[in-house]
Amino acid sequence: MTRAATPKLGAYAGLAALGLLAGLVLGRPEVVALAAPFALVVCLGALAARRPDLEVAVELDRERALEGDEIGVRIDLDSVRGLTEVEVKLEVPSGLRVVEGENPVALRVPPNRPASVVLKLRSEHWGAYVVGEVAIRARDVFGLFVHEEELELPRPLKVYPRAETLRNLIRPLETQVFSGNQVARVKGEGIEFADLRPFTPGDRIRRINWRASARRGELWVNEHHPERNADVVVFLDSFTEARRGPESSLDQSVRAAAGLLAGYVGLRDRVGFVGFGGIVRWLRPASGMNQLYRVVDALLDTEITLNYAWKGIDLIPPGVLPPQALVVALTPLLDDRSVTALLDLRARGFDLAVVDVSPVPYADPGPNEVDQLAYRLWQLQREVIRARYEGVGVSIVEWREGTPLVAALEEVIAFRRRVRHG
Amino acid sequence: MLAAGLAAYPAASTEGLSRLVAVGAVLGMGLLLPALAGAVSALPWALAALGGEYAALFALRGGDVDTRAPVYAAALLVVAELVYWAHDRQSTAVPAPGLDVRRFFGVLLFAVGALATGALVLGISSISLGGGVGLEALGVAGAVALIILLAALIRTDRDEQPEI
Repeated sequence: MTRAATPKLGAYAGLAALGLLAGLVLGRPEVVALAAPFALVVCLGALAARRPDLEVAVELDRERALEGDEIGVRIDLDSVRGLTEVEVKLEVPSGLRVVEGENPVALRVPPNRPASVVLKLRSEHWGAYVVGEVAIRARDVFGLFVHEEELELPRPLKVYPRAETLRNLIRPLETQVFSGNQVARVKGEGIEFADLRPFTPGDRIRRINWRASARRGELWVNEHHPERNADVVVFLDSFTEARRGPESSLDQSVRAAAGLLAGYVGLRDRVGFVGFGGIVRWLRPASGMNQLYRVVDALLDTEITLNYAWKGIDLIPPGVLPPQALVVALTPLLDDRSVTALLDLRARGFDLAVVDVSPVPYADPGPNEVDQLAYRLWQLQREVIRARYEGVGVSIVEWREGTPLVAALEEVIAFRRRVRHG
Repeated sequence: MLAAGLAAYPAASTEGLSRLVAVGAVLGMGLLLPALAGAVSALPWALAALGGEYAALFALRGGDVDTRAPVYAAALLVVAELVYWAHDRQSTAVPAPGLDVRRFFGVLLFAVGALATGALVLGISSISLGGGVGLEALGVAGAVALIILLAALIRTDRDEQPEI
């Protein structure tokens, strides 16, 4: 702790000295009587000044929360000798807000009786935070000295994006070999009816369709689509973002990615992640809740990192994008590198669906005519990019802030259905 | 109000308002107002002006020892404590319940202590110890030693001050 004299010490000392000297010069005891209390306070304060024996602990009531959740923070202060007045301030990271309790607060710490500061923080934005930077200022009993310290008592807190629950997801064109919830296009053992075919030796009796057999006068059997899992890779474009106040197209993308990932994991699919931006990051596809946590943790670290180097899809290791994987791209279509990379993916035969996280609502058309013209041209340019995707058979949909993701996904699903059935 | 009372007392005690006393009163009150408004560095000067006004009273009037001096001293200390209290509360830290009540009693304790100290000083001064250059020199040396001691105490090892 650093010790500092308060202005009071200088003032009292000066007044005491001045009064005592004036008393000597004037030869009047009244003047000395005026100065004596100030001198006494200074002397007693100097004698009583000691380094505070303060112990501070910070506890969070949980380490993981969802956006909008409230997290309890408790700062415990303990001192054997006690402290007359301690000011405590918790540095609250941007993205969290104090909704209950006072911060900073001044309180007394009685001897051998811990005092606590209890705060409630609301997580207003997803992210990985570290809570626990505490500034302490303790005053002595006479208020002549102040002891200050900034403590680092890091407590990690992960705030996950509050994702939309998606009832209908984009179905991959191809499935993998393991069982899952996606109906495969191939025929095999399964529940979903696929077709009828004549009986061949080796077919099981239970598969015979008696009604069709009676109509045709020979044995016919049912064929089914097997239920398989799929590989789904969420491709998040983090080269750039459009921002208005605290919200941005990247926030929108991250929330959508979290919803999509949770949805596909729920369908027992293998999910992977590619963060394509200034820093390229990836996670190989895997299934299960552990993978979901891994991917969402990776999402929390997503941020815009400025980088002007050209980056192509070659940077991503082959295992991250397995053949026949469905790639769901979330991009604001603002950076040529991601636009080109996605077209490149399509050219390599990947099943690609693009959700254009529209930056348009984040942009202001501008006050004058030229600005508004530029704004319209920019929107036309974006339409041209979308047309390029559609031209190569990629389903692409513009998703604007405020509309549910599920509506955008329905458009993609409809587009894919149209393409498949000609 | 207490400070105004302190400023008024010497003025009321002089027969015909002496110019020196009036200057002290005006200066004291004039400096106290900015101190109350947040410029706490003006407080020592305000207190010095009020004390100077009181001292000027005796320089002008002379005569017997004023037995009300301990009360004046206690009131002066209380004014100082109240201004510093107000200054402390101007920080953004919200006081916990009961903290201000404790401080109020602390100020009262200071006032009682100041009253006792002032009375003690006046009591000691009434004891005749003779006089002379030696005693004067001892007093001056004591005052200078006190200043040196306080200067040493004020020196701190502070590096930086966090914003609270």
